[in-house]
Amino acid sequence: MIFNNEELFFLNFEEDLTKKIIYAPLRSYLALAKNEVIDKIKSDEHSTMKEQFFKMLSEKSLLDMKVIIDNLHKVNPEISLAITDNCNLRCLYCHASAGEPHKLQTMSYKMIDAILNKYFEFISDTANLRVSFNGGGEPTYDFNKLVYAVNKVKELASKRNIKCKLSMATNGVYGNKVRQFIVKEFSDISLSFDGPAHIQNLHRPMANGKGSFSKVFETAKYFHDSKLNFAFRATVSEYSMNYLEEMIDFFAENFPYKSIGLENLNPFGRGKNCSEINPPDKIKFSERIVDLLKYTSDKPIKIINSATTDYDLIRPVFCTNVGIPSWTVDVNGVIYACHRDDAPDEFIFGKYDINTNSLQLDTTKIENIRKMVVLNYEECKDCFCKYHCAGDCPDRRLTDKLNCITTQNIGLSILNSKLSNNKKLNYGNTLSSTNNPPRFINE
Amino acid sequence: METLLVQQTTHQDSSMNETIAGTPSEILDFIEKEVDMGFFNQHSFEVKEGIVINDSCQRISKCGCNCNHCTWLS
Repeated sequence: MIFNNEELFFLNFEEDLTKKIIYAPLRSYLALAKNEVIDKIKSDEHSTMKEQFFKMLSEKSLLDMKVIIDNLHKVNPEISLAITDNCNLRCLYCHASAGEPHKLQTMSYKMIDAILNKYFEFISDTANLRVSFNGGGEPTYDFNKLVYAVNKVKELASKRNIKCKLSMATNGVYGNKVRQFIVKEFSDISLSFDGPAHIQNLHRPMANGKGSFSKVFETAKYFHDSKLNFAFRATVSEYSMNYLEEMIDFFAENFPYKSIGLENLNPFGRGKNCSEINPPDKIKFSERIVDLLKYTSDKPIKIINSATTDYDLIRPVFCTNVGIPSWTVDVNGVIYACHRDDAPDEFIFGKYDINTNSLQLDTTKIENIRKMVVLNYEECKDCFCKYHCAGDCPDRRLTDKLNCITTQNIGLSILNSKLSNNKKLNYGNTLSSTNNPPRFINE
Repeated sequence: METLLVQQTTHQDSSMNETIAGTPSEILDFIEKEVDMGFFNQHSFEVKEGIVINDSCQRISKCGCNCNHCTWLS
């Protein structure tokens, strides 16, 4: 809400309803005041109190979201290769339906060569670059192709004197040869692991129907012992929501000082018609996350959730994929601004045509993707979370599966906690290791 | 990012009001507590040496997008 040309939000202080929280995110300002003070600040009438307050606020620096957006448009796009659509798992909620008869393709060597050559021709000189393997199926499923692509990236980067960081989301179901390669070559790994055996084996069975728990556990131990920079990502279903404390204890006991991302199941791909597990109720999920932030306050583990993590940062756009936009290239050379398989047409902005060896980028589509920022979302205008969730995942916006209740409930708890005299919530920190000292051994 | 100035933080003693994590100015007497959220020291999507850092969506174990899959960390 705009008061005296300042964007301000007034929120309930749950410990004492005679007071309210004042939040001015663009001034990096959070405060607590009595309700009568708030009334004066909001009032149209002049008062000394109001004048002093707005003078104080105006003397603080102001974050300009447009500058952040403009800078994103100037930076090189990052590239993510979806090496394969295939997978050795059949996760019940797989967004990509990986491994099903229509999802068995793998990128050809010719395509890997061509798209990486075109990409390195496209980007401007830079000291650093990040390349990821994501989208489609499990990147390690066709291990030879992954090794080939990694070597190709290193070769092209070396010619341009660019330092590359490699990252990947992976399911962890492989042996030591693959684990060694990952530890040697990758800087950042997201390991999909839904928790104790009864959850992991239900959610993420192997293609042959057997459980995947023991293999993933071994991989997690290997990564942990190797001090690889990795974090866990667990998808929470209606079933596993009943066991969140057990999950946390499991990770804290076996992999201390790691982070675990907990997100609710989204019914996409195979998850759309899944009868075995359901998405959790969003309100209950948000309440459970707040419970967990308290539960973990004295445990060697950090809970990460899309609604909690960004209270150390603000952002105008949900992700770099749409903000730049970055390139996620599927097995056929189609270029998306989204890692989700089968993302809608709005996110497709280019294609590499292997027959003509030509790269086509649609500038109109790029402009439209760049409009997917919170400043353009009318319904977010008066929401205090707007610079934290940035309007949530643009794909989710298009499919009408927004997560506002979760985001707002958790956000309110975190802002309350910052002003409370009680125990603080143990919510994860998003700050990048690129320029920050480690807080956890994996960050 | 020239416009994104780093704020200097100072601590202030007050029996009536409490400043948490430092604020750049004296706290007004009708404000009970203040917190500098630190957004000027760290903000999302900062561009450093050619790459985007603090891109909170990805690599930081918190994407929360639709894919049920990735969770990057940096």
